[in-house]
Amino acid sequence: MTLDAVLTEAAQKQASAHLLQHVRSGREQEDLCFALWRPSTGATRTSALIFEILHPLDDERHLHGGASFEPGYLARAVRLACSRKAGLAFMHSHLSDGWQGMSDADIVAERDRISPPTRATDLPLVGLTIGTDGSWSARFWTWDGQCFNRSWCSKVRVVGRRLGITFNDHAVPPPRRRPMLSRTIDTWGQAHQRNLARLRLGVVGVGSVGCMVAETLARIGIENLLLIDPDRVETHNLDRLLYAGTRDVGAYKVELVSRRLRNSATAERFNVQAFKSPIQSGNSYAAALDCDVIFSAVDRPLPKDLLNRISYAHCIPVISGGVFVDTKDDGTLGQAAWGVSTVGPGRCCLRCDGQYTSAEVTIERDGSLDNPTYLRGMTGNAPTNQNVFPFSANVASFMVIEMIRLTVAGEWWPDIGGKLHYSMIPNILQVKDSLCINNCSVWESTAKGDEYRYPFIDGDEVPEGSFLRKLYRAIRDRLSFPPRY
Amino acid sequence: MSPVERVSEELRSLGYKPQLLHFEETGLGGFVVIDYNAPVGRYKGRKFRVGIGFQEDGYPEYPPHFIAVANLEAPKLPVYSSQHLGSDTWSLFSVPPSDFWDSLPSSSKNMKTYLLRHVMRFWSQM
Repeated sequence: MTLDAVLTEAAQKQASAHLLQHVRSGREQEDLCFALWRPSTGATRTSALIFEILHPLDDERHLHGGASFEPGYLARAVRLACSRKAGLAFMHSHLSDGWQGMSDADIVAERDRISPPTRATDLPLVGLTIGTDGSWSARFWTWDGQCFNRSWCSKVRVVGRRLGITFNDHAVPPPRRRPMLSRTIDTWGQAHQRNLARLRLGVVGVGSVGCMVAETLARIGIENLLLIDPDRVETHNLDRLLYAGTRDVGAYKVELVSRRLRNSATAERFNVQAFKSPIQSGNSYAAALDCDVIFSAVDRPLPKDLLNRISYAHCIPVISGGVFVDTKDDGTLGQAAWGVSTVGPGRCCLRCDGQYTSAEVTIERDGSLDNPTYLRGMTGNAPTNQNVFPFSANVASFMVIEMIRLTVAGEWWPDIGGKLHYSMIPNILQVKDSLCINNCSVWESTAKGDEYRYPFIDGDEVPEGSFLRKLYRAIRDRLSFPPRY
Repeated sequence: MSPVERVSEELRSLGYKPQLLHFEETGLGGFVVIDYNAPVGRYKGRKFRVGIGFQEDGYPEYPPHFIAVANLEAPKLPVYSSQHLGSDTWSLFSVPPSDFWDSLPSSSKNMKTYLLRHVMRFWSQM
């Protein structure tokens, strides 16, 4: 099980404004605060989603070059965490850049002072340190029945209009410069390449769009890819499906694509994981929660909805692409358009963008969308399947470009967009930016993590809750040690 | 609480006496059935047995789209399926409330809204 910490951009702004306030005004002064977090549990990763910063009151912390806190501040924070059924996080600043280690005083504070009362939350303490450049580092303090053990996170993600990541180079070594990637690295620089290459990226739906997304990612040096698609290659796919030939008809798409990606991959350490089950099956769903960014190349309402939900509840940006082709009654092209939307905290969700409705999810779920009788009776919005290779190639390219913009954008890059929409007949590419409607339940689920339960997951392999929470409960029950504030 | 139980409870709180019905052949799961006076349209004032279909979890975030009406003659909306149960002939309609449900605040996603806005419109189109 790997560990990550995640902050929404809103939480990051609040925390850094407080923790770096002195540094930003030219003083060498550290600061501290507590925060609340919820677990997000995937197949192999638990992430602490920081969702609320608990600022200290005037007399609750002291500044003396370093920073210290009164017991009352800790007690207040633990009480709040318990009442919100959340975990407790402790944040402090250091006066240097990059991923931060811990001084003896830091360790004593987190392990010996804060961790014991934090057991009342049933969740480990998460410690975070911010450097002067805004880089975060993080660790979990877990109780093994005798003492608190520190487990470093692999990375800290800041999710919002941009995706900011600080990697723990010890846990996830950065890639070395390779001659076969020199043109790529020289385009955006080694530092960005180190971040991009180490992202775990998911591609859901490896049809005409998805397999070209996967190919592009393998070419730019991505090390870890997850592919999810239950479908097999069919004859009518052959005019659009990269890699597929007549001999591949009947093969699982994910098996075909993952095999071919190993030839295309430019990363020194390339790992591709393939799931032959739909995203709403327990195993695929859990694997998707291990990703840092997910590409959605699906057209059905249910997987779209599921990915939309994941992007907010689990703070994993989703880049969704789709093609619409309208053929006239005489068989000629009436309209072709395609769009790419990036969704997640701080952006307009796919449902508010009009890409599906919850009612359509219900229709798919009860089998009506696969019922010919039902489809014959549909009026207006019957799904169409027309598409051609260049349309898919264009969408796939835009999807990867959006991921690159999300990840490597500098502060000076204009923060425009959320949705790219290309309309072929008038030959217009538009960039749209909007927000969710008031009361959007998807937006409201931001950073809920495991607390949000998607109702249509098949199978029983979905984690019932955080592994760490269960471990904590088991140990606490065994020791009959129920500290409560 | 299952969706069917929740819907039944909401309908009871509105003064209805809900019952559960299964159309085994359709595989569409349970329908919560109430006696309902058509409020508008050409059937206005006539009492019907009306069922609201539920497949599984998801309500109220995910709204039901099947409405079943017993012994309805010559409806204007397309009938998805006709089912015979006892002496009744049930007409099943797929009428998803796609245009407004997702924009409701969570507190308004309930049977009161469903009946007032959606079922009312259903009868006006009938």
